[in-house]
Amino acid sequence: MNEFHNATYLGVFLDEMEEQLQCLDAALLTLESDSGKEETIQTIFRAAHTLKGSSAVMGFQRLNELTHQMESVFDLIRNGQLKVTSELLNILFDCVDYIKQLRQSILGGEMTEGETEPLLKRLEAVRDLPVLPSESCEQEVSREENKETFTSSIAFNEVQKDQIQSALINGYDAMAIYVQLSKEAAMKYVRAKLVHINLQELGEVVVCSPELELLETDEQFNGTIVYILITQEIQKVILHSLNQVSQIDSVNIVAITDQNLDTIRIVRDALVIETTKAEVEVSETGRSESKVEGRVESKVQVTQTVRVDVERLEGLLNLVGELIIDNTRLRSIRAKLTEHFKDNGDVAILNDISNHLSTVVADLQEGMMKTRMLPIEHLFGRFPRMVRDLAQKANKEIELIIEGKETELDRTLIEEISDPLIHILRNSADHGLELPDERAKLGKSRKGTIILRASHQGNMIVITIADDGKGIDVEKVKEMAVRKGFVTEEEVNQMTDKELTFLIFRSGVSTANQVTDLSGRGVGMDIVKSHIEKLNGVIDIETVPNEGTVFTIKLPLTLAIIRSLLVKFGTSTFAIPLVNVIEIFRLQVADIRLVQGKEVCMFRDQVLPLVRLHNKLNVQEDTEQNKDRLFVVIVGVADKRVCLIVDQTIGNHEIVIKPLGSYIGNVPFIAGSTILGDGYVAHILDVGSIAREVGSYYEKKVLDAREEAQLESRNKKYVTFQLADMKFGIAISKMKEIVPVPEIHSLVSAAPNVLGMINLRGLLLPVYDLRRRLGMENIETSAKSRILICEVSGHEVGLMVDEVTEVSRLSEAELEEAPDHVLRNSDFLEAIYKKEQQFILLLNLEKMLNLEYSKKKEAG
Amino acid sequence: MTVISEQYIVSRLGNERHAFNIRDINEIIKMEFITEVPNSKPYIKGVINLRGKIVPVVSMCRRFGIPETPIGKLSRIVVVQYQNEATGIIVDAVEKVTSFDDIQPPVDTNEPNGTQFMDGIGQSVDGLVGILNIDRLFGEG
Repeated sequence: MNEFHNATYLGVFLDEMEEQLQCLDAALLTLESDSGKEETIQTIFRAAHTLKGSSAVMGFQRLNELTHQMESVFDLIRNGQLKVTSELLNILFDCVDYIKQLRQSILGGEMTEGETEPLLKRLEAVRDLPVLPSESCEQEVSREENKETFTSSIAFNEVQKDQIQSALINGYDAMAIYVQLSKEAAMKYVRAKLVHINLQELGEVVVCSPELELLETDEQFNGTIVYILITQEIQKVILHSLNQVSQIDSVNIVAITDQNLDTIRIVRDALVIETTKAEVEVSETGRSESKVEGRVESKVQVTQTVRVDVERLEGLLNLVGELIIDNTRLRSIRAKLTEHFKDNGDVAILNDISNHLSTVVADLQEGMMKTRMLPIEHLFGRFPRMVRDLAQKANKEIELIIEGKETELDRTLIEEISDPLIHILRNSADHGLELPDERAKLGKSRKGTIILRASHQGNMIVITIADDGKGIDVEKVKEMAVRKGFVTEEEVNQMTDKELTFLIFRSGVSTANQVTDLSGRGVGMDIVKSHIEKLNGVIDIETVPNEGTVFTIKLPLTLAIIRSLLVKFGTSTFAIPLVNVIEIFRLQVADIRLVQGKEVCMFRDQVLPLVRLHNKLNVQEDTEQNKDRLFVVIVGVADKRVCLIVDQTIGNHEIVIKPLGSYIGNVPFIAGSTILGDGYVAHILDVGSIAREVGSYYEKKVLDAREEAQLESRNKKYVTFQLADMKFGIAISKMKEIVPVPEIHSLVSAAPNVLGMINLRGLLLPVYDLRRRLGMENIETSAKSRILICEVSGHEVGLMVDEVTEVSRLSEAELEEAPDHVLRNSDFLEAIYKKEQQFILLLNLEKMLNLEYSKKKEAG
Repeated sequence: MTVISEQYIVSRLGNERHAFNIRDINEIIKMEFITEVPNSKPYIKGVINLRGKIVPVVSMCRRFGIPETPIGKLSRIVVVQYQNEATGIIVDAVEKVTSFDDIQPPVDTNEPNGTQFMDGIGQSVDGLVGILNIDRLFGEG
């Protein structure tokens, strides 16, 4: 390579390359679906041309050659001399791929260009067998003609024709000027340009053929240029003007009239000269009539951009971060001041200013974030091409529908999620969607659909990839996971479908029958997982057999400023990124289960590990709090879900992530710090590492807990108690706690079964007299008397019992329906437990007490 | 070793005096609320918010391996520039700016009094002052 590899421009060059490549990809795809559309070809041509130019400037010779060849091929297509075949497209796609690879290797610091020879050969091969006479051949013909007669001619498109015709009607002359540059002329382009400029002074150059820009690099250029000029000058003046340009062999001028306008065109058609090329030339030189200029605007959508070093933006964003912090502080001090000096006019003004400042800061933040944001189109734009290739390789018909490509997200994120998305798309295309014949058999359309959708949800970006394929075969995953030894057979049999589905994130698990070029090695989903984990995102899978699979990825919008849930551990405040917070709920201490010495809890049919971070974070547990109910925050990273026990939840705040600095370095469980509104520093929990640490023994736990849960469903636990000489039982799931009898405050107009109210840590609860309810005689409360606090139909109530005997597991097999005649009201009884010497009556509290409520209502 | 023109800031820790080279020091601030950083190096007391920047703070007592002295009214955080980052260290008091007529090499002792963090012993009217080496004071080990 050479000294032109200029570092300063390399970045710009690579950026431009990226843009052009995307443009090429997109345009080639359009070309494939709807061949030969003029505008598409123009786009391709322009992209190839730009690439050619810049690669030459940067000194990438092979790239230059390659793009040059591509350009020539496009040129042929444009002229209609080459038909767009799938073979041709494949070659072109391969060329694009080569350039992409080159870009990657340049990015990686590797400056050597790969071998282009095979590609060049293929391109040449295509070029050599055009359907129509080849360009070079045709040019030679025209050159011969030109030497003698200058009859080389040109065809006009409608616009130009109109233009010429209207010019003629308005009394202008139109003429075709054939200029033959001398063969030895060194800089033909410059000569041609000079001619162009001279003519421009005399009138309007409507068409110039071949287009000037091409002359610059076209070695085959034979020196003949045709200009179509609309002018009021006579031929003599024109000839005189052109004679000032040196190295012109001859000039021939043919007047165009209404009659020969058409004949010229007919002649052209026969010879097939570049109809479309001429049009572009006009639009690119862009100096013609307003009509033409109008077309230029509509054709090329140029957004004005400035390339800025990301570092600078980072710097600005940091400043905005400081502003946000100060603003929060200002607001809190403002609130204090307002309280102290309510009537002070200055405080009111301060309020106004602070309010305004808040909106400005918010806008500023949003604006700054936007500068780092790119529409996800930059990423999604690569996929149609990829899916096309996948479809072709797998012999499938796939339609990729992209929605929400205007969704914006941080540019660093765009790079990072590219890989996971590619893997998921590949999986969908390769494993998810069936072959067309299979689909037809299943009554689906032959064409499979993959929907790629991006949207914003609060401070998150949600990307879903949905296919209408066969869904994930849970059985296969099971089999695979067992075969690979991740889980034992018994374990899998106890897992829910959802948990089984999540097994595909394990390295080496694949549902593919065979390893293909595309996928099947079982590495992909592992990569997906680790990438999403790295970004602190969350991934979820839903799959329905024969209906398809939906992957949902949630990511934080940006990595610098995030919304967080502030929680307290002891007296310390910590922040949890909101994107990782899945749910917050209150957990009864009684619902915590121990599995292998580790705490877990059941929530929405899932067994989740409970984590008490207090020890890990060296904070004191808050002992003053009511410890019966715990605040639990479910956090998720990628496929993992973990419950954190927190002492208090404070609320959502916008926080600016600040690193702890290299001096402190990496600290377990902490991802960084932030400054709160009160000026104190709070740490941000590293949800990923917490989940990972817990997750390592989580799998085991899940299974054990499940076992226990299953056991429990068969053998439910009951609290048994004594009333008179009878034993009763209440399912433990209904129990809240058992308390000794406190002072019972009697009520004025209490229902006969209500003993009164008790005050349980500030909560007033009614206490029912079970004896009376069950028609037994009253006795005095004894030292053994207890009140059972239960939840019945959503109410917490107390039940007075004589004595609590034990908590025992009662096997379902030993339960019997209550016979109608045992008690006056057999509805009270759920079942009777009868085993050996024991005889326990299991009460149905709902029926017993609901009755009570309705009675109350009647009474009221 | 006679460096007379160098200026030092003398701090107190318990009954001992130490000196920071004035060129090492960014600023000296009053005690701030220190947020602990769990699971970090034992001698790191925590982090503070220094005008919007998170600055780690080292406990000099813990660094020297002596019992921590209570934070008092005179306690200060000396913020120095260590490896291009602002880093703070807690001292019981900051006394004055001075320069030393004579600096002796430190005496090797096995006592945990921080001799290993010193460049030398400076003599002043108040007695002997240990001159601290920032790199060793904040560095590993």
